[in-house]
Amino acid sequence: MLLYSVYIAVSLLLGAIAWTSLAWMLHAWRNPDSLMDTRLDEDVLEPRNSFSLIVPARHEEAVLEATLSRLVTSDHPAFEVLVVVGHDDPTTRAVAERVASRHPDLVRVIVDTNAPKNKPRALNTALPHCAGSITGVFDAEDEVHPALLRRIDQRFQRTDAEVVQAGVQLMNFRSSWIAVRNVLEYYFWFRSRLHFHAEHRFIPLGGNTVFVRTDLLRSVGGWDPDCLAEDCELGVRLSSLGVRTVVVYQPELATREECPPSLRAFARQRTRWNQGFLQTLSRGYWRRLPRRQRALGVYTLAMPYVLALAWLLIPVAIGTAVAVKAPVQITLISFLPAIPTLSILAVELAGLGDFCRAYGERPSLRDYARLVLGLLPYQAVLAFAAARAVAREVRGARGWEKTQHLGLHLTPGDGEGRLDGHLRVLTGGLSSRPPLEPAEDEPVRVLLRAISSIHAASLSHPQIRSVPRPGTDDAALHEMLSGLDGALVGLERNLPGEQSHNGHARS
Amino acid sequence: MSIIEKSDGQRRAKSELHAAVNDLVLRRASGELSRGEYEARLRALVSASRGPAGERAKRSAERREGRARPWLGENQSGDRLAGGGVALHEALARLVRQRASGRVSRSDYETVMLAVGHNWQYLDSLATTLADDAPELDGATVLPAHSQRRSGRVPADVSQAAITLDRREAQRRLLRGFLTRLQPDAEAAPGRAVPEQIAEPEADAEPIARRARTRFARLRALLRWVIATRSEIAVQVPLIAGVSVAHALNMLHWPALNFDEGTYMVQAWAVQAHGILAPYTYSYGHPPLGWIVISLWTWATNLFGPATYSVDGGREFMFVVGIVSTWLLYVLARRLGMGRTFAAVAVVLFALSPVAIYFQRLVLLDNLAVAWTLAAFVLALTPRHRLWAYAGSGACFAAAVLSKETILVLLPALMLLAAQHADQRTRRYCMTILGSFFALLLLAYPLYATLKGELVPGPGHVSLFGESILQLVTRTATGSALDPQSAAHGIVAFWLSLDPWVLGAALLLCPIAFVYRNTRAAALAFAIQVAIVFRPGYLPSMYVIGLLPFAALIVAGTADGFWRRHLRPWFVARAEPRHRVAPGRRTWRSLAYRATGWLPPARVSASALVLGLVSSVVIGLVAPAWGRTYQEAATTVADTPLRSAEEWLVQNISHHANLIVSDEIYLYLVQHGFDASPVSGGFYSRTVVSYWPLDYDPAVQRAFPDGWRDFDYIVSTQPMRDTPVLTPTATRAIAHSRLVIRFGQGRQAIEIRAIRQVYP
Repeated sequence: MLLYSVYIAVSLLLGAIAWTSLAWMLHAWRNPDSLMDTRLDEDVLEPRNSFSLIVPARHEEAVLEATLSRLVTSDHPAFEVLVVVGHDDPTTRAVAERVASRHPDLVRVIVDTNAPKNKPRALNTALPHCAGSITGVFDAEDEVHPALLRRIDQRFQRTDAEVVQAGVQLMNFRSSWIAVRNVLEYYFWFRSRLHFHAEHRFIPLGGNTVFVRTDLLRSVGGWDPDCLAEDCELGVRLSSLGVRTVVVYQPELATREECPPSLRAFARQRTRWNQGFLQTLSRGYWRRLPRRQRALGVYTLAMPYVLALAWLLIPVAIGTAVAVKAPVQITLISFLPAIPTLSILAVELAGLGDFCRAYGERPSLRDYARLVLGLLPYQAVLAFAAARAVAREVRGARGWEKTQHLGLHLTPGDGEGRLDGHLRVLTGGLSSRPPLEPAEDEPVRVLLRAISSIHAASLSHPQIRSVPRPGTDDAALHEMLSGLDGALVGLERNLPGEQSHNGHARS
Repeated sequence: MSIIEKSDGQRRAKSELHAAVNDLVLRRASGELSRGEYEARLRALVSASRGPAGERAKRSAERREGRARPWLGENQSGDRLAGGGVALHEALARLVRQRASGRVSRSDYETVMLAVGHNWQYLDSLATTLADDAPELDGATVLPAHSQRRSGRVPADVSQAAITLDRREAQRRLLRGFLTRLQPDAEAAPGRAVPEQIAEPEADAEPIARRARTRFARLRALLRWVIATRSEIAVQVPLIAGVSVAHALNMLHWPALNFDEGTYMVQAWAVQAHGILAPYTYSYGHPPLGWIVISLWTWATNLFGPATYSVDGGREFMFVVGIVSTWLLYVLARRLGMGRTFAAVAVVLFALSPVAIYFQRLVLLDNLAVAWTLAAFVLALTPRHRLWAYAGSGACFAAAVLSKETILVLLPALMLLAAQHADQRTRRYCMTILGSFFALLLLAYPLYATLKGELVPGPGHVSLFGESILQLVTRTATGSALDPQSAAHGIVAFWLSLDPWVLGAALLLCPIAFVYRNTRAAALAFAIQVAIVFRPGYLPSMYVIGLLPFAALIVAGTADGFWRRHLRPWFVARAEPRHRVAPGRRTWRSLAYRATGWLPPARVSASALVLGLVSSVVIGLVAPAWGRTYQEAATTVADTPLRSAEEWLVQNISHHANLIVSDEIYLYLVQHGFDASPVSGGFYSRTVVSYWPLDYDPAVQRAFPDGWRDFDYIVSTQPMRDTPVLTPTATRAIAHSRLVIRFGQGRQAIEIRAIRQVYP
């Protein structure tokens, strides 16, 4: 009898966990008005604030130039870009300074001289230099829409929010089986679940496309320099102080990013986030909140672990029920969590269609199949990451495992030709290699830098794009192309076994 | 600014300050406070709070106040604009227009609407003034905000705010008037000139809203709600009362017992008394949710005593289910857009038709399934397009199918209704969640069968698939309904003999119902079921229960559509000059015009004719037929043979005698002292046995190896005699028995016959 009641209690608990996931996932669509509220308003007000955009970059020479070139085309009248590079990272610094020399009034390079390098320290280094009234954070691989800043400004004016979190969207859902699940996770998180958190005043912020009033940020002391999920920690800290956050998501204006390129990188990224959540929990700022938000806060921060446990328990529960030959009613109750769980799967399938419609893509049967079949492996990877995070935290290993970015999400300009095909093959092939030691990857890095420059140039070169963009000229393009040739020659000599492509990339 | 060190008390003080500032701004915006007073109070508030919190409060107040000014006809320095006193209604109209064109944000709009709405007395006097001056505001020249909203001209929250601002009729008319003047190009239509000078509110007029908050707040709110929904209450209460009376009178006695009623009640008894799904082996004939619900009801209503299961208790429950279905049908009709009159007509057709009086009293699973289905349809028409209402709809329909599996054919109609009504922006997720909840809950039934190892056919056990195949394929057909000799024809003839009007009218109007958008789903539901009636195969006699609500909706819905499109404009159109007939032409219209000064359009004649025809049919033919049924239902006592037989059995038969009985007598006997102890093999009662399992349940056959010879008595009822081939043991027992006593006469007689002579 006692066993049965324990059993029922566990089943109901699993059902409740799955139910909260389902409910929060569908929060934005609970009625059409709430969906409309998640969007940004029409652009009607004059910009009144000034923005300081911090872009921390480390070993990002492949993608940094494209990001910065796009960022400076934002159509807001008052903003500045602060690129933070490490003092031990000359290649990225060179890229940043090149862009800064092209736009001296918009872009500044700030050198971070901290000893153990991580993102929050980089951000804190830039914070004293921020001159704008609103500070925003972008990642080095983001594709930011030019109209975003004006709308964010308007949102700050219209509401009395002190923090605005805008949408981030992973785009490359076709890259691998795990990418489609990753993309949809971001979609539901930024479209729906974050709005729930914002309404209930407990929000783990994202570290990207987040805007905070500079004076507020300075008064709370910036980011936590030791935390691995500094964005979440900042969000929790601000929530505990009663700061009002507004979340907006609009497909056209979402910042575009890429998924981690390999399974290992993905697991490392999640481990870092999970460890950060643990650190945030231990900081204890959530204890200041009133009771209901405190419960919500603990549940949210512990969610990766709760979900890992839940997914491990489900087969155990069902197996036990069948093996122990419990009465049929008890076994039926143990299947209750299946209802919200399978509903989540159905909603994810609908979400893939919704995502593709919003972003103008077309999903294929293979994508849907990957979504369904990838459910259990994905949860297994997440559970593994959760376990690894606990292990690392217990060991005290707090090093920042950086995610590698290869620009897989960048879209080509209107002239999609042989150039793009070659580049895609190259980058795809290279991403499957393990990361090289700094000593031996110099040619690869040169090549990647050249490739990303080609990409950036192709985005902005007037002969390829129909709309000419300022800031580039033929000389820069030719320089980059000759650099590419040289890099390819060097690659052939130094990396045995690689295919060599005839990179005659003159279009 | 050391926010980090702020204590809880300070934080609370800060929010109180914000609330006080908010209140002040609202009172200023509604005109209660003059500018000087407002500034003085604001200064007092700000200086009372210290430092930066006060600064922020002041800034927030300024921001809000600045936004409120233009709408009250003030320029930024607070001076009134030229033109005398501020016309509040002009301000409101401007505000609504700006919101409609998207230039005003939702929060600002609500702030000012609330502020203005606080001053109830002011709005009241304004509305009365306007109502006197503008009689055309009342009546149907004003398109309801609801349909303007659907055509996309007015955003949802504007129409919602406009209508819910105050439920009182005058204010609603007032705001409807504003909405009619809204044009898509944001130019005000040249309406009636509104009075410039509106009485200013008295300085000490305290808003009723604030008074209500202090004293008897909830009671006042309840009274206001009752007054606001008085028209709905005035329609629903008499309707439900009338239906209750019609259903309850003599409900325990009139439709004579239907065989299935006993079966379902005995299964409900088994659920509560023994925790199993049937007193004999559950053979997946129907999914069990129906009698589980009956069992729950009986348990709940007998909490303070032993639960007695009987067909009477079941019929009481069916009464409750009927009332719930009736109310759900009313709500469904209203949500489909019908007016109150036509929704009431739909209810009358559904609940007061003789078919309904007959079938809805019986303890049948179809009644429960129809109630769940109506709930599903009602939820799918959620007026605010709530996602979780769609989930509930899917769950209710799953419950309906789990009560009676034949209702599954209505799934396309539910999907059509949900897809029609869902808002395009969230439709994908609404339909997904509806489908997934429906499918997942429905899967509980095969899951149960799988857990018991009874999913697929195999030796020694029943199976879900085996029984489904039996039901669908191999069951003895009742023949085609068109063949005059077949049983199906007899069944349909019986339905039509009870009441041909509702079903016949629905059949005729079905094509028109397909054309009108809001009756399309009901027409589909009806058409699917009619197609099933006419297919060759097995037709259960209670199938009409599922047909009836949709028939009612079709008839009332098409009448309502016809009324809206063709007849009502006639009532509201004024005589236009171009309709006047040239002098000299003598038609009946010109004569009518000369006589009354009023000229109806030409198409009215056809409409009037139809109306007259329908009324005469109703009064002349339908009402007497229905009246005859009501009289029969209210006075006839049809169950005397059964009750007498039961009593006689209890008084005269020893508890040791073995009896072959039908299910309802089994239920009565085991609850009145006869043996109900468990027998190995999974059934109960060593002495009283139901006659169907004698031929089909191996456990029963093992317990009574000599078949009918092991029994002393058999209680022969009409269903037993009607199935000689399917139940040979009972038939042989009857043939080898002698009559002891007979109750009733003719085919429906109940005979108690003795087989052995061991016990007298």
